Amino acid sequence: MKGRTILLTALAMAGAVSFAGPPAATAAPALIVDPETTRAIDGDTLQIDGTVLQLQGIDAPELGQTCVHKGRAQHCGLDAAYKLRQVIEKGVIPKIVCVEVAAPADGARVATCREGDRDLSEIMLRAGYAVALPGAAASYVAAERAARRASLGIWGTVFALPRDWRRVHEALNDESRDRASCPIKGKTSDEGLRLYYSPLDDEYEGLRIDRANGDRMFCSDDEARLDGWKRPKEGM
Amino acid sequence: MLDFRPVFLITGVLLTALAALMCIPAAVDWAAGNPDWRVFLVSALVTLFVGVAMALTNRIGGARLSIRQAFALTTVIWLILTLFASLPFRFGELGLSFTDAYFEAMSGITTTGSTVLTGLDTLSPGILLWRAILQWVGGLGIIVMAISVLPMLSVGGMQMFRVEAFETGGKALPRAAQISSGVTVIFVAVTAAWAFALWLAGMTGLEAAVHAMTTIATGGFSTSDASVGRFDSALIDAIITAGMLVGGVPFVLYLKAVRGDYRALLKDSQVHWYLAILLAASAAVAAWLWLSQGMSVPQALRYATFNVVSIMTGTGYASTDYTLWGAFPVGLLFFLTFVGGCAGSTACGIKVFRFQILYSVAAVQLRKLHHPHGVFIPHYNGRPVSDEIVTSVLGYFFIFGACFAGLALALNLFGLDFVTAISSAATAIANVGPGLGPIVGPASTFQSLPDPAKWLLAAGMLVGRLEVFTVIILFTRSFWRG
Repeated sequence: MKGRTILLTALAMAGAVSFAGPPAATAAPALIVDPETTRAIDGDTLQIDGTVLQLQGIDAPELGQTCVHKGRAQHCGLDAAYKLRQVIEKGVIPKIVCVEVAAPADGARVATCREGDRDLSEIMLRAGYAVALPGAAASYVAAERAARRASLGIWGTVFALPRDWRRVHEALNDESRDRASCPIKGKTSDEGLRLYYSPLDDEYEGLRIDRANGDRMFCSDDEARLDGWKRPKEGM
Repeated sequence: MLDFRPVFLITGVLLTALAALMCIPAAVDWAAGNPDWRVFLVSALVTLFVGVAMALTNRIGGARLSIRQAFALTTVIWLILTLFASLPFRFGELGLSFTDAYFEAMSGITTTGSTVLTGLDTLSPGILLWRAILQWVGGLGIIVMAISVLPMLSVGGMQMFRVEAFETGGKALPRAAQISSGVTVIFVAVTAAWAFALWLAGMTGLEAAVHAMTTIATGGFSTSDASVGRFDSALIDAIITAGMLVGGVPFVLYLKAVRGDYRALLKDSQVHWYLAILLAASAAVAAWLWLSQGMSVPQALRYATFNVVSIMTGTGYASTDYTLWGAFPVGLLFFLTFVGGCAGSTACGIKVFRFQILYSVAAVQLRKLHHPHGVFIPHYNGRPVSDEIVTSVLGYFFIFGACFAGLALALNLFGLDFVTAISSAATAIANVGPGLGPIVGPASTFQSLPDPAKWLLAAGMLVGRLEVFTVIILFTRSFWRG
């Protein structure tokens, strides 16, 4: 996949002003990014060359979230993240174009990302790996409705809305947090940088959490970002 | 009433063999310190117990299988072996639901390659190996069946490949059992050769073993969510492409070649057609990628050849999302899904020889339009084809088409959209692997489908793998009346 290039068209944002219209003539020059540094963080967040982008209009289950299918817990949060990673990884022709569309939310910039003629948010909704956020575009709502009607993915399970799940789990103190529900590792680097890692990152398994050193676990990537933690830019 | 004792006897014997195979992932997991080795061991013991019990309680001295028993046996073996093969998926670290476990095992044993698993990169070596072993055994099983059972059942023109017709250097080889063991040796040797080549090309031992098994069996399971794309190596792509090609050729021809009859392999018209279709389709897709998608020529050739061979042989390594390549490659690859490889190979689908016969019949029809009083006979491999075989092949096309349409419609009934339903039905019944669209496309798995759809697809895989008629006949009243 080295031959692939991913195009990040980032619109210049004037402060934190919300921008809901189509990409205008004021678009910043296209930034061509090495795809080797593009990663899915979870089912609705990706990182392109150090920039964290939240997919517009959707909310996917968090990495530690489980959904119940016929009495068995399914790792629907991880499944959603793997799904987004597969979508990103398997393109060979240069096709992913992201356009920032709204003010930063939860510490991440919000963007619509397209791969060829497909919208990544819509793919996640259509396959039943995410819910549409209130006020999402009509096409997103329709995609969610189609998935729900066919009982695809999370719609064939009993699950909490990701925002409700976050609220409950982020209210827990450090001692009450179990690793399964709150799998995101916040690790202070040797240089003193506070970095958070998703289970999808290659180095995740090898990281040891040393609470004395300020390391901690997070229940969602949003929580880590809001707490001021950053993503590692290299070595992924 | 059908006497099931010989059916259960053979099934029991095969279950004991399956139990022995389960010890391989058990040993690998044990060596890797993974607690799942206990699950494999207990699954093996349960399978062994049931297998031995079935074999012992159904012992009958020297009985031969009747045609009806052979039909029943073919389907029963696949159903029961799949059930026991799914035990490690259900009770191991994956903890899959019964539906998911059975789907995964059926997809493995029928060499389909559709999966409900994600996060393959983090799975234990035992589970990855078990998936590959299932495909490998399924591939070998179908070759042996194509030599020993299917010709006897005269399914869809398979009677042309009767053992009696198998000669080398004018000297007839002994019966199917010996030919099957010869083919098994070749199957093992080819797999070992590919594993070694993949290891030399940079894979780890486990990756090389898994990919060699799933390549030669034209299965398509991998050790990574990114499939073969994870290695991002033109050399590995080339080795695997060659392996899939080899897997799609009748293994009996390799046996003949090893015994000195190279001409059988070189002169077989089915192999010629098989290679010609692959070559033409690869060239067309490569040209498209080069001209319309701006890929460099070497890259276009690499990706086009890999994906064309992968889809047509029914391997289905979803290493790249070819549905992003534009309308033409998607359409072409969808049609190639149905073609498959040669009869007597591990490849799936309708099989090239049936297209040859259909083509020959159509050519005869065309000539008859010109010369209504002329006598023209369809040919295959230089020999005239009897009316019985023509009817058999035409019937096969109809039943295959009807099953495909019925499966797609049933999936529609469960709420799946048109593209998902059509492509899932096609990929299941042709034992390929990935479908099309955002839900089951190459960048997806079958994980998010509802349970009834997974059962339907598992049934479709079985029907497709066993040459359709073999399963459908069990649903006819006359079969059970005898």
